[in-house]
Amino acid sequence: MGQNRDDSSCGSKKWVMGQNRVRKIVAFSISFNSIGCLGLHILSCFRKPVTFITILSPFRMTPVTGRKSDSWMEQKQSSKGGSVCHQLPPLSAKYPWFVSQNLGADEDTSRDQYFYTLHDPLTKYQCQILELLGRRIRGFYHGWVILSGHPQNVMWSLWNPCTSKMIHFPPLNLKDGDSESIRECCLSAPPNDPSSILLLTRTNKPAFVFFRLEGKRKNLKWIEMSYASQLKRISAEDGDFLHKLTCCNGKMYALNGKCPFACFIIQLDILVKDKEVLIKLSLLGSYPTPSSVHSDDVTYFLKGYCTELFCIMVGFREKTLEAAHLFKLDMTSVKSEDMERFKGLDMSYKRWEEEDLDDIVMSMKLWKELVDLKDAIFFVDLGRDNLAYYRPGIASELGGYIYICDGMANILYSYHVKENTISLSYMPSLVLPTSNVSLWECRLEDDHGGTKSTLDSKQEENEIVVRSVADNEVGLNESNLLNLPFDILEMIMEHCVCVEYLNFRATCKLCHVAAPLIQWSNKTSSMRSQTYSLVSPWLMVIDRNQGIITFTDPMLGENYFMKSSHESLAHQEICCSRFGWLLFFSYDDLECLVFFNPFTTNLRKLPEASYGFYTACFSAPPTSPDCMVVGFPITDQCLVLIHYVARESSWRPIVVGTEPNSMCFPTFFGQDLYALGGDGKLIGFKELGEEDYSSAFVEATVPVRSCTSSTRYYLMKCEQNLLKVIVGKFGKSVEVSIWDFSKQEWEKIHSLGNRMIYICGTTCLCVEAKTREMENKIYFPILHSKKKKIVFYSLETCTFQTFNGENIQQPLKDLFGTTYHLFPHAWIEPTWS
Amino acid sequence: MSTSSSSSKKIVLKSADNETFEIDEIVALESQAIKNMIEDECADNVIPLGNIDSKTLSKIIEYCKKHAESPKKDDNADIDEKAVEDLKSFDAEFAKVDMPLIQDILMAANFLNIDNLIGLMCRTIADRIKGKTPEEIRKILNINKNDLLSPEQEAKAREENSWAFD
Repeated sequence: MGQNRDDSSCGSKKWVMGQNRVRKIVAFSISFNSIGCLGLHILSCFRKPVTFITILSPFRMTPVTGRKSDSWMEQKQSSKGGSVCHQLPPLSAKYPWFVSQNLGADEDTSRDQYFYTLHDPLTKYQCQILELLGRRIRGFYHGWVILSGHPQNVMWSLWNPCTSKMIHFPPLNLKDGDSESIRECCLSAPPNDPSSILLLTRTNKPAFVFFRLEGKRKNLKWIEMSYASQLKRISAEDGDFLHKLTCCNGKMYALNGKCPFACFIIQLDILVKDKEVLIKLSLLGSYPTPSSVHSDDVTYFLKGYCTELFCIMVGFREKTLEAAHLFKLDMTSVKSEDMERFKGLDMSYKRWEEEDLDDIVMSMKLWKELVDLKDAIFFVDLGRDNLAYYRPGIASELGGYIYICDGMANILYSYHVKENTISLSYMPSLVLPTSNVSLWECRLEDDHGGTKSTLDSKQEENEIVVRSVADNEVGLNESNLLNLPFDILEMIMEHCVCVEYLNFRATCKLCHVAAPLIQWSNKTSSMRSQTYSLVSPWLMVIDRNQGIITFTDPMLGENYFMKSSHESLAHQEICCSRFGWLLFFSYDDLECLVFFNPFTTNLRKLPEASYGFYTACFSAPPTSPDCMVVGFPITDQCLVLIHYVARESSWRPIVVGTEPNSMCFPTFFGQDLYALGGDGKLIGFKELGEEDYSSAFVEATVPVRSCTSSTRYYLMKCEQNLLKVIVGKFGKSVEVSIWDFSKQEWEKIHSLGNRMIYICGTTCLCVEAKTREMENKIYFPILHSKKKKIVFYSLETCTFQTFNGENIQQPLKDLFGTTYHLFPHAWIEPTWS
Repeated sequence: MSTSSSSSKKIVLKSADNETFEIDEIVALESQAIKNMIEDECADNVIPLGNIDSKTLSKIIEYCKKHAESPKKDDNADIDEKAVEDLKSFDAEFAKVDMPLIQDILMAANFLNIDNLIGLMCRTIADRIKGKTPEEIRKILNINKNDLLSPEQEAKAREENSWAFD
């Protein structure tokens, strides 16, 4: 790195090479720390202070120690190291609240709890609540908090924050003495219910440990009970475990853990006969599954709320969160025959693989996938099993999210269900990497909380400002566009094309009336749009749920919508976008590729191939006589498939020297085709269209940087060069390299000159910028979480930014604070031809 | 067109703020509306323009003078390039005024029926809103808040708008 090379080797003098920026980028890559593992075992591994965090919802406070509640305002500011509250702070019902417990050995900090909300980072409370001292919050059921002693899980108690009532259990002395093996807990019913039990599960054996709350004193004791054989009767697996305990509609539910084949929702019935408690397991049905799963690491969460059972699927691919699905099952709609379906099931000596799965399939149909969470939220913690919090009726702008916490990596993923986007953010700084996060589920009351009043006053201030501006405008200047006669307005409109036309139309009532909707796909209107070129390609996102295509202009940040007129589009996956055309592979028919121009709604099916495809690309618009499509088929053989759209009626297989499965970003380069292997290696196919083709070129050297699997590579052609963009996990590093054809190696560059790059999983473009402000930047298919504008990486400042007019904004050093799409998306250069 | 040759004839225009402007008839003929009045022989006295203020009117007269002076295309086939260029740069310079004045001129030009000027002002407005968001356009055009679509209407309008690709 850092050497100055003869510019002629890269064909252009605009590339700036070998500058001192290297240092910065190296620093980025070091600062990233990835601890991938999850699970409860973590807890026991840390000798340093362990922080547990729990989210609170509003509830009524009962002073625990002598503090008066009017001192809240002072204590709010105390988190930086002043006084500490000894009672629960007034937590506004507007937000979900977290509480962070520091339970380490360090005396000074281990006593404190921090209450905070994601939505108002300035409001946080530092507390030392007596009930929580030396105890860890384990869960929330029926208005009660389950607490366990720390670090040993020997002393268990229930605490009702509304009434301040505490219920203490006798010490839990497990036969094997391994109290750290307690995995999850669940309170089956409110403590005054005669059947109420506190149920614990274990990490090291398939057994419940439970305690019945009602009953004669002397009969009260902890009971351990194995569920191994009961569970085997259902799942047919040895050594299966239950996890994700939850309560719903007066019953308990859990998932079975070991599921190479059978993934089930298990119902737990608590039967109380005289003094005996029996826990009966029965099969409710299979997990709901989304129509397509690309993830290599899937986690399910289960959460009951009133009569509804929710199941959340969170999927990672190459350590990146790439899927989240939410399903609901209304238990009141479950008919008795649904419950009878698996009655008497005994799989102890059978295998599910050999069974008729009709009943299982039927049981999956009970679930409904939710594509809009409205004003509800969920919170799940990848590090803790039974923490899935559901709360309907949060302030609407905060609702609609599933918050997914990866405490080990200190990351919070905010998944917006309706928009199908994920926003990346760090956990608040007071949360340690070892923190454990959950939501407080006790009933909150919307007090005169400080948080609420500050928020409201802020909003009012804004409103007043806006209004006064508006008044001025009216007062100072009577003339405005609306005085213009209609025909004049229309004349102005005639000078506006495409986006400008749309924007103008949106400005006011009269403009709206004056400007008729133009069918841009029509021949007549396309006359004016054909000569018109946009400043930038648009990001196109296909909302499969609503059948809507959204286009976002990176420069203006405006969105344009289109109803997906082709039903089948909803089931398809983009594999390439160029020249204003998309190449899809259809899920309905995996062996069929389809060309589609969304602006003209022109759809062209390609002949069926005898293979499905990993990926494919094309050399020219399908309307061109030279359009060649190259597909990388799903097969063990080293094949690529070639199809000339205008000349052939079928695909032509060509044997190449390398397996196509890890190939991405196939890129035409004259007669040759280049692609990237999974590890970022360059793979070339010389003169691919020729009949006698037989061999492939593979880059000999492995990239210098030792890359984690979460590093993303992007390949694109730029004039007479091949460029590679390397993006570290969460954008911690961004590099651009140019392929040196003579030396056969990548060389890092530090400037794109007047060019700009667009990257996403399906399209990579490098084009000359049409305006100065757009050049030397890499545009990501990612939005700023707050501004909702497209984020770019500036090679000049080495930071992530957005275009946003006058407002000065803090550049981002990585992709935290941004939102990415889970719906299929691609960059597209609109064309009406 | 019989009167158009009498170059010495003067026309007097009176603005809304009671300022009078004496102009050559040939200049006044740039306005189709005044031309009609002259033809109808209603322009002997002062022509009152109750809806055009003096600032706007003087700008319009400046424009009409320049355009009246420059040779007309249909008058002379071998009109020199320079004159066209000259007029073009005059127009560009003329349009460099603030948006309220542009709108006033446009309104007045519409009233007086001066086609070229209407076209120039429309182009100018369109150029200024190029690449701007609706919010920015509102600012530029000083659109009254009262005339905005209600949030619901706007949402619907934007949606409708945005569906224009459909």
